[in-house]
Amino acid sequence: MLRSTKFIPDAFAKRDLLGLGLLAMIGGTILWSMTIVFSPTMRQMALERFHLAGNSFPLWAVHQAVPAMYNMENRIQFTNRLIGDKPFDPADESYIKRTLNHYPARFITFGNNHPVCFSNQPQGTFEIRSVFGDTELVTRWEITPQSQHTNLDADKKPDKTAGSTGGPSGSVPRTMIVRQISKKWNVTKPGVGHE
Amino acid sequence: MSDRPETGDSDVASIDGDNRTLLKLVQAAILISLVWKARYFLVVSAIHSQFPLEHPFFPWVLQRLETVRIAWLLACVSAGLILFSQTSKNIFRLTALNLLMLIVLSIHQKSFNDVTFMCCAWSALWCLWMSTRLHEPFESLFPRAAWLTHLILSMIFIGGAVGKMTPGYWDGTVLYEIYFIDRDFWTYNLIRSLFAEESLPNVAMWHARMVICAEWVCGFLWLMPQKVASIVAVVMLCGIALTNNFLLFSVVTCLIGLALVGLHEKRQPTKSPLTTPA
Repeated sequence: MLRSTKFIPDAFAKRDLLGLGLLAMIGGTILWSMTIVFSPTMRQMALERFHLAGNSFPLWAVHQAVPAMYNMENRIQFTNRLIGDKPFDPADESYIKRTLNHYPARFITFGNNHPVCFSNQPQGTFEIRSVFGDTELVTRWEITPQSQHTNLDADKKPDKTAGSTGGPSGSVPRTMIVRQISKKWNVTKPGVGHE
Repeated sequence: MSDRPETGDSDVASIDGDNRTLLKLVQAAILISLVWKARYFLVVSAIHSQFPLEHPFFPWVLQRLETVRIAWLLACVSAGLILFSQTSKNIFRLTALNLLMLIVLSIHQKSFNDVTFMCCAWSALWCLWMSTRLHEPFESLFPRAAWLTHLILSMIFIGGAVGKMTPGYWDGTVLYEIYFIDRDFWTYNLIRSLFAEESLPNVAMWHARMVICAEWVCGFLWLMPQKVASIVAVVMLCGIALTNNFLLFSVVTCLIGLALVGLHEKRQPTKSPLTTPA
């Protein structure tokens, strides 16, 4: 206890303004991380952060300073089919379902899953479902190959030859575009679970 | 021109060697963190060039593969150069560069998800502060420096603990699905060999509760006596990587570096024969 009470007087005595600034930053970050328990707004912001579904990139970038290891319950689903709002089909051979520890959006933004997801078809539908307390955020995303004319063309048919992304044919990799197609909030009342 | 070496020499002479040692200790830990997963990063980087993907949430420059490669390289180079730097100016500039690159890695589309960079960035921020205090006598700086390391570690543990205050973690479901069903690692293989399949959810529940409680305890490192806090943090951080995934040493090594600061002992000055009692 003594150490914590001595820091501020010592820092003032030594004119250590940067030290006081660092203390304020750490204190602010601790408060920010704890607010998700009490504030629905901050809880929603934390969930949006994990989904890359917020409105402001600069705010998200600042939020990245808040530690969030193994936060929330995060589950994802993926299929190579472009299914829009329809339910996923677990019988589909490209269907993948997983529970992730944190940053569930990484399933598509980080490359380690790309060979599994996009080797056969550079497209798909991706859903993230995250829960914290009484609040659930479900976002759905469509990944389509960049078309020479318009991205919408790519939605119409699965193009098995398009952008084979360095596969056996060795053609030039074709950029895939991620697009959000839905975002839903579910807030449960006390004593009632999520669907 | 002739003044420069003198200025540098006087600068170096007035730096307290123990302050510099502590800063370099943490920078070395950051470097190990960054290099620990180098092979993994290289493989993923190659995959990214084969499967280019654009996410409109990120600004263009923070989607480019070149950006993440340069940032990682500069973060490693700056951390390495700090280990050989002597003047406070050089140490400050390199630490600032190191922090900037780690921030880029923490918000880049292809690396934001790796908490290695967030943990390294907080460690680098502490180093940046230290680099401005190198001339302060060690005896007055050390208590503040050690306490700040424990406060940063507490903040990181609190961030983890708060995010688990949700039913899925408390009842063990999340950790059961992530680790207990099929994770191929010695601890989970051992647990699966010791317990019947139907009792694994119950084991996962108690494991999850133990993790949450341990994180909350570590959230109060800043209130513990200095050496106790450091030892508790080192044991906890090593335990996380040793029992879950050796790749996690990329995340915890920089934090172990911070924790080790509190265990530092001031170097005893060499006794001159003239001052030695007969």
